[in-house]
Amino acid sequence: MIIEHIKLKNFRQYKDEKLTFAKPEKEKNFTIIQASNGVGKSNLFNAINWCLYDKETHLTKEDKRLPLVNTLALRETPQGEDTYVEVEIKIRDDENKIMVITRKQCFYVNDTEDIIKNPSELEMIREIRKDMVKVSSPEYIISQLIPESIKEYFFFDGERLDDYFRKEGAESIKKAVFKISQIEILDKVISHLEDKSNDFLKENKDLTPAAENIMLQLESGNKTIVTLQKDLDLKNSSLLEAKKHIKEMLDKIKNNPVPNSEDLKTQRIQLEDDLNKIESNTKDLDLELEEYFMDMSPKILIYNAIKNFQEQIQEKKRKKEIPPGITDEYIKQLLKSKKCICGRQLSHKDSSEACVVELLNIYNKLSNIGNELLNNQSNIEIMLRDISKFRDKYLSYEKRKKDLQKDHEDKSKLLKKIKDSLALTDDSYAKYEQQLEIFETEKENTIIDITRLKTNIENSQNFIKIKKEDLDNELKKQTKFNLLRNKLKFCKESLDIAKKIKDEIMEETKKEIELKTKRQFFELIWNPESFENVKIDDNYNLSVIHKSGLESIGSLSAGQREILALSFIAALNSISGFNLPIIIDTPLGRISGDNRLNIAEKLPKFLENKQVTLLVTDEEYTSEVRKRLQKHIGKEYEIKLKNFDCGGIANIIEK
Amino acid sequence: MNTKKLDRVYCDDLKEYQVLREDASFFQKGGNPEIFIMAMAIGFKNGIKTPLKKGKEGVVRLTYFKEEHISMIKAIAVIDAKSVEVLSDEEKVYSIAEEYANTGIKLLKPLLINTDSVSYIKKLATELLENIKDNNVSTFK
Repeated sequence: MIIEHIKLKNFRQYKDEKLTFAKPEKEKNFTIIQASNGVGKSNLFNAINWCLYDKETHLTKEDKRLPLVNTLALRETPQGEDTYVEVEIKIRDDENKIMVITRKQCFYVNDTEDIIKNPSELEMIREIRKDMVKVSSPEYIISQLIPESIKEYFFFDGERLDDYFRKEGAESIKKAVFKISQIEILDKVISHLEDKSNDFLKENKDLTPAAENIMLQLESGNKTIVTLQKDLDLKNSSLLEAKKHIKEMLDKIKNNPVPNSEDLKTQRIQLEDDLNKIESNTKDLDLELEEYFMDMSPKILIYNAIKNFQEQIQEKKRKKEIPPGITDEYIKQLLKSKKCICGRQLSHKDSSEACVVELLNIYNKLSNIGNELLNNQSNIEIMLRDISKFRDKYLSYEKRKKDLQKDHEDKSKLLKKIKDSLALTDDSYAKYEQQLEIFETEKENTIIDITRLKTNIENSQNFIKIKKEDLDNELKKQTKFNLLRNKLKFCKESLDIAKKIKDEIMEETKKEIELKTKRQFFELIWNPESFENVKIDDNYNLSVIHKSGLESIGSLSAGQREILALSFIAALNSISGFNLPIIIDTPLGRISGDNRLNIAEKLPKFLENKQVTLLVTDEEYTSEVRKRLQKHIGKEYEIKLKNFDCGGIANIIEK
Repeated sequence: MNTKKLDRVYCDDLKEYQVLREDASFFQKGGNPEIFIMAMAIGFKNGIKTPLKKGKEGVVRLTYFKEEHISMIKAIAVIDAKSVEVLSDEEKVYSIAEEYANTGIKLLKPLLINTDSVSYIKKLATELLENIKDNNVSTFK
C-alpha cells in the first residue's frame, strides 16, 4: 500500500495544501519533507493520524493550546458561518485500487467568541470494479488496512526510538512483538474461554452427581429383593411341604381310627373336673368344720358352767324369784304415795316406810341378777341345744367327708384307668396328632413368614421404584453435568491450545524479529566487528552482546542505538505482514557527525521497496545527508511558514 | 370400787393373740373375741386361773363379743363364784374370764401352732365327744 497524496484544508497551519508522495518505484522511494523546527513538520504527521484515527499523537505544547482549525481561516469565515477542517489521504492498495479517505470537522465561533466544534466525520470512497464507491464503514476498512495498534511501527518519531531501550524496555518490546504477531484475537479467545469456564464452573456447582450413589442403593435394593425372593421360595416350598405332611397325618388318623378315643378323653376331662370339685368341696367342708369347731369348742368345754347357769335360772324360776312378782318401780310408787300394798299408810314414824325402803333395795339387787339370768336364758338354751346336736352334726360332717374321700378315690382310680387306657391305645394316634399339631404350627408360622417376606419384597420394590425415578432425575442432571464437563474440558483444552498458540506465535515472532534485527543491525552498523550478537531474551529484553561477551546496550552511542532501533523497527515492519508506507519524523535528530552520514547511507538499503517519507529538520538534513540519500529521493519538499501574526500559514513547496 | 366404766377385757401379752390370729389356721375365720373365748374355755376346762400382771393390755372391746360369748363369760363367772350374785359385779365377771383366758392362751398356743387344723379338730372332737359323754349331754338330744 502506498499513499499517493495528502490534502490538507484548514488543518492547523495548513490552509490548503496538497502533498504528493514518491512511489516506491525505480529506487526513488523516498519523500523528503524538510522544515525548520516549529514550522509544521510534525503536524503533517498529526494530519495523517487525525485523518485515519481521529487522533493527533505528536502535538507540541504550543499546538495543544491552539484549535485544530486554522485560526486564519476561522477568522476569515463570516460570523455565523462554519469553517471546515478537512484532510484527505489518497491511497493505492496492494491490488492497485484507489481509496480516498477524508475526515472533516466543522468549527464555528459563537456569540461569546468561543470556538465550537462538531464531531468529525470520516468518509471513504473506494474503487470497486473501476467505480468509486462510498464505503459504509470506513473505520473498519482502516482498521484492516492500517491497524492502529501497529501504526507506530510505520509512522514513528525518530527521536523516540531510543525509548525502546530506555523507558519502556522489555515491556515495550513485548508489546511490539504481541502487536506485530496480530494475536489480539487469541487474547480475546483466551479471555472469552476463561469467562466461559468460570460460567460453567458456577453452573456445575448445582449439579452434584448423586447418580452413582443411587445406583449403589438400587443395586443393594435389587440384591435384597433377590435374597427375599429366595427366602420366599424356600418358605413356599416349606408351606407346600407342611401342607403335604398335614394331609398325610390326617390320612393316617383317618385310616387308623382309635375306637372310643374321644369318649375316653371326654370322660377323662369330666373325671378331672369332678375330682377338682371334690377337692374343692372337701376344702370347703374342712373350713366349715373349722368354723363349727371354733364356735362349738368353748361351749362344750364349759358345758358344766353353761349347764350350771341353766340350772340356776331354773332354780330361781322354780322359787319364783324370777321373774319378780313385784317390780322395784311398783315399790317406788308405794313409797311415793306413802301407801303400802296392803292399804296401810306408810310413815317414817314407825318402821313401815323403812321396811318398804329395805324391800326396795333387795328388789333392786334381785331384779338386776334376775334380769341378767333371764337375759342370758335364751342364749344358754340355744348353746345347750347346739351342744346336744354336736355329736350328730360332727358325725354328719365326718360322713360327708368320708363320702367325698371315697368319691375322690373312686374317681381317681377311674381316671387312672382311663389315662392308662388312652396311653396304651392312643400311642400311634397321639403321635399322629402330635405331628399334625407340629405341622399345623409350622404351616401357620410359614404363612406368617411368607406374608412378612411379601411385604418386605413389596417395600423393596417400592424403594427401587422411587430410586429409579431418582436415578432418572440424576441421570438427566448427570447428562447436563457431563455436557458441562465436556464444555469445561473443551474450554480448558481450547484455552491451553490458544495460550500455546499465542506463546508459540509470540516466540516465533520474537525469534524472527530477533533474527531480522540482528541481520539489519550487523548490515547497518559501521563497526560490526565490535559486536557478537543481538538477542531478545525470554523476558523480551533486547540486548547487544559485545565481542567481549558482555551486554553492551547501555554503552552504545546514540547513533548505534538508532541503528539498533531502526533495525528493530525494520524487522517489525518486515514481519508484520503489512505492506505500509513508512513515515519517520526527525529520523536523524539525535544523531550527529559521521553517524548521521552512516545512517543516511544505510537507510535506503534496509527500507528498500518501501514508500518512505522522512520529515527532516534543516539541521539534520545536511547537504551531506542529502547527497547520500539523493538517488532514492522521488519527491522533495520544503515547508515555509508565513503570516506569523495569524498563528502562521505553512506552504508546502516542492523542490 | 373402780367407778371407771368397763369397756374391754385384758390380757398379759397381746402378741400371743396376734401369733394365733396370724399363724393358726383354726382361727382363720375368727379374731381376738373367738381366741379369747376359746382360751377362756380351755383355762376353765383345766380349772386354772392365772391373774393378770400389772402391765395388762386391752385385747377385746366388749362390744365386739357376740351375745353367746357374753353368756359364756357370765356362766363361767357364776360357776366359778358358785353364786349368781356375781353377776351384779361386772368387773368380777370379766376378771374371772380374763384369768381363765390368761391360762388358756398359753395352753392353746402349742396346740395350734405348727399343727394343721384338721388334726387339731380330730383331737378336739375326741375330747369334746368325751366331754359330752361324761356330762350325759345326750339328754339334750
